Amino acid sequence: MPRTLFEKVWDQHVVAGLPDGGALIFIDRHLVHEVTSPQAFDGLRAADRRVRRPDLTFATVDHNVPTDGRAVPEDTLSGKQIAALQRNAAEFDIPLWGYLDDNQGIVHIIGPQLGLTLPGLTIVCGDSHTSTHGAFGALAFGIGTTEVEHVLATQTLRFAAKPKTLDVEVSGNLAFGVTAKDLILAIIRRIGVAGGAGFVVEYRGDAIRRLPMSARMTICNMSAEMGARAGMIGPDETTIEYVAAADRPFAPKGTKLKQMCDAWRNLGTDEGATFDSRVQITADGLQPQVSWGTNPAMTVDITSAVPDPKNPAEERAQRYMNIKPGTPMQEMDINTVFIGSCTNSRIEDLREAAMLVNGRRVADGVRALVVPGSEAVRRQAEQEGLDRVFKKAGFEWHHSGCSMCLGMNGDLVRPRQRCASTSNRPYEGRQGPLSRTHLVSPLTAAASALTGHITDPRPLLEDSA
Amino acid sequence: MAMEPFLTHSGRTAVLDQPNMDTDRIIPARFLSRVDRTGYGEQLFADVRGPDFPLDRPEAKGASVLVVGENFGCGSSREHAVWAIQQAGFRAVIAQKTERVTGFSDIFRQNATINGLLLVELPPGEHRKLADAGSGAEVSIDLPAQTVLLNGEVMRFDINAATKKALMEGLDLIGSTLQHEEKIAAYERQRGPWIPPRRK
Repeated sequence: MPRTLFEKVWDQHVVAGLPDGGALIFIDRHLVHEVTSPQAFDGLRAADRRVRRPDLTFATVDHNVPTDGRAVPEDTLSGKQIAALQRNAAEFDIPLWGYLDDNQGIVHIIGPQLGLTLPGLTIVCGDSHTSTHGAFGALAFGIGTTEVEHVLATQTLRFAAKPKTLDVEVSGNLAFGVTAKDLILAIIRRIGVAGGAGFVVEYRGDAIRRLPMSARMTICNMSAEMGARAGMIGPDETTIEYVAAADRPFAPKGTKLKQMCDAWRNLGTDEGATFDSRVQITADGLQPQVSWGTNPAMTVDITSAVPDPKNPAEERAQRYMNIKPGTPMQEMDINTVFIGSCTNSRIEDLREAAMLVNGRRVADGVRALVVPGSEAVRRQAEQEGLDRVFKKAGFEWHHSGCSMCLGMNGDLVRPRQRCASTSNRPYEGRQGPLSRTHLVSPLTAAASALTGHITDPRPLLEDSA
Repeated sequence: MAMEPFLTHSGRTAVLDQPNMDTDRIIPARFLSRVDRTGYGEQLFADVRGPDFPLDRPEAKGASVLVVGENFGCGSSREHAVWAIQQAGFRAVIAQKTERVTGFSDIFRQNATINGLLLVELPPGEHRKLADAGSGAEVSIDLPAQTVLLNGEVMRFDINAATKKALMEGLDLIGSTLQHEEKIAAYERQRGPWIPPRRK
């Protein structure tokens, strides 16, 4: 019987059936960070349990680390949390890429970069954006702290029911200046913030096939924003080329890689396989997108205006954002620009933004930050001279971490200030108490930094070309 | 860790009838820097509290059943959201479910179940009665019978059978899974993944 990509990966990982239709699923890679793991390790210790597979468990610090390179005093809450992960990793023999380590970075950036993320694997992390790794054809999803403890102790997860499948098929071509970020925002706008709940999404179609891995990761990353637990893209030659690159120390090499590639080529959804639900969308004619409200589905074309509120939740969002229906999005002044997060902090994102910024200046009164997704991305960018382009224009150039995406580490949007952000959630207070977030692509963020208001990047890009 | 079993619960409601309440609003990220599992109750909804906030109104004082809108707990996977709700005194959360939209987000649902917080989903008509009754209404929840009792009216709810059993028995899920030790070991021998090299 023809099967979907998800069904193939699921079937390969069922350890045992559980009563009432549940399943016990084996986990191939467990990524751990400092914020959602300390209580899990404490639970292990309290029950005198061990980490079953330290060889499949990998840790880094990303959520609360400073990005300005300063030392973290041990007596601060953040310092204690970082120290707890160091102790736990040492005690349970788990590799840890610590603060300012050469391979440290946002967990969803370093997994793929180090070759930990491979097609066909099950990957979990105590973070909802674990869906990022689905870009490789892995089944990857976020879990809570007690489930982190469960995976540490058993290397499995319990599912009360098998997730349903949602086919998102994207045809057509993205136009010049329109990016994967705009596409995923448009998909979320269409499906809604709850439309993916209970589903694993597979992104298919010509428009997806043409995307490089960096863009595919941006797409799968935001699957969480429509409520889906995971998003996947079938592996192809683009995927294999990425995994086979020389600088993936934890990926298979040589004949082992060749064998695995053969299996990966058969992993994609079979002709004739059926999905539980289906959405079709075209990339043709898509405009750059910008969120106006307090959830990612409250999004419009950048060329349009704030819409009339359709319900009390949208009225509340417009009050919170301090915006009025009919105001053109591009007339909205901003105080802050954040280029970073697991959605858009890869080298390709920084190159795009730098191309537009090159030779220009950040507008007066705007604080603009570039926070690379990993220390390796930072080094690569510096080799290419991107840091100089940004700094010369007036951007701050940071070390890697989650930073202003969620404002845990002190990188905050100030109260009532407005931020054009390449992150993934414009929630109330997400980037700091009373912060106002507009989600955009790296190109739109860069263009907005230069003008001081939300700005369509396409005219500036044409001038750059 | 075993959780407290849930069979029946009677208490008063606090109504917070807004859709898509994300976990950042339930507990903001700056409160996640601690390494403990307790002490989060005070920080529940920290950034939206105030005299007009439903949970701060006198009629919501002492409430133990939280009535919310649809897709509650979306966004971040932080289990602190569930801990904060429980540590603020709530034993159950009741959301609205429609054909199109779920009552709770997937990860929040997992986190709640594993901590013994009962999640109830009701269709719009019945959910409306609870919301309209306002904070302070007396309700009785009977998990074995899958009912919520409000003002003499019995409302039935659906729940996944495995979830119901885990809640009623207060299962230690890690302990239950470790009963499958032989199958896990057999899986590892026969079908385990390619193991990356140890860090140099």
